[in-house]
Amino acid sequence: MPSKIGQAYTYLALTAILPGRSEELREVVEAYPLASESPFARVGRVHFARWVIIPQLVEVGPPPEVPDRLNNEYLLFSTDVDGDLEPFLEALRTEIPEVMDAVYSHCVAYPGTADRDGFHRYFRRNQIETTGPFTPYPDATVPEVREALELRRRLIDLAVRAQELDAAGLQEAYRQAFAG
Amino acid sequence: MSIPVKEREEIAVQTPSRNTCGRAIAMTLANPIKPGRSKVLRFNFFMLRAFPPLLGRLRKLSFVHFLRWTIVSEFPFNGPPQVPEALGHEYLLFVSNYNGYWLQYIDAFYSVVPDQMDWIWGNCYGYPKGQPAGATKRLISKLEYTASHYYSAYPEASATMVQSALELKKRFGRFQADMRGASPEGFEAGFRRFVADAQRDL
Repeated sequence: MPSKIGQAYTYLALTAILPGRSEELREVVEAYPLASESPFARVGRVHFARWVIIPQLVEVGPPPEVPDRLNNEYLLFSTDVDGDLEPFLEALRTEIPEVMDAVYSHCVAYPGTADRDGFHRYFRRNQIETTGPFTPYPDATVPEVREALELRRRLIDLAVRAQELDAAGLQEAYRQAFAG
Repeated sequence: MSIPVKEREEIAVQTPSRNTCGRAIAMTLANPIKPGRSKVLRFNFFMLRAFPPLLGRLRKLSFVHFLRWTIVSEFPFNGPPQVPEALGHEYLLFVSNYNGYWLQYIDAFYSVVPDQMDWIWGNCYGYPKGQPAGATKRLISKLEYTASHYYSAYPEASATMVQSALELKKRFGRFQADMRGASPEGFEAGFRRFVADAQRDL
């Protein structure tokens, strides 16, 4: 299953936007706060996520390529998450239902979060299986990454302070920092 | 941990702000695949997965968090009012989460995994195989889509910081076990050894 890499799952969906609704959709999506205030922060298991509106394909040329033209605009949803697909979809449905409904009500045939089975079917039907995933830390979950970063921060802090502490002071500072 | 002002400014100059979240940067590209080449591409990706040393070289691209290539054979159809697509090509989507400078990112791909770039994008239209990296940069700047919303769970961290932190966590577990019951002098000596050994990850 190429969408799976280590413990992580790389999900990507392309959903057709209702005719004439892409600018309204853009306003909705761009109004969400970013970083720790992003709706995805509430889902918990998300490493990275993006919504990208694809209005048209880009011509690259040169000949002999005959340019393609899309008949619809699409919303691309790409994310790298902990665990498997089904628990992630359920977390989207239950943790940020108002966000999913506000965004995907602009897309064709979206059933809404109130319809559990329909919601799961919709995101499975519009999924494009990943062909080649890569990450240098495939086995680390979001909480593990955050915990490791916090540990690193505290260790750097202690290493700097250690230069001014005697042996007993260093051991005490270590105990306070790491409850050791 | 905040990002130096200079670094923020350089990222801002090269990357649309909606493609950034702290240090993390989103890249989203779609390339048309040459006729008959998607099978070659799928085989190449299979080989890259089957022989990890080939893909392992990507680890040298120390500023990659997560990336993926996805072959789009057809766009999902959800019924009217969606109009079925009638495209002449399959498409290769490249979706990447990285940190650093856009230009360095492309340069690093060229210098670290040049063969892999040929194996992958060589099957797509527009890829300037054998030409200087500048041609690829021009192509990418033309192909890149801007995100409307981009999220990173740890925006303060570069990919290198994440890998260092995970390595440090392993070492620290061993250090903690070794230091149980140590005298202050023994602890001090052990801590200085630990810091010296873990210098690369601090």
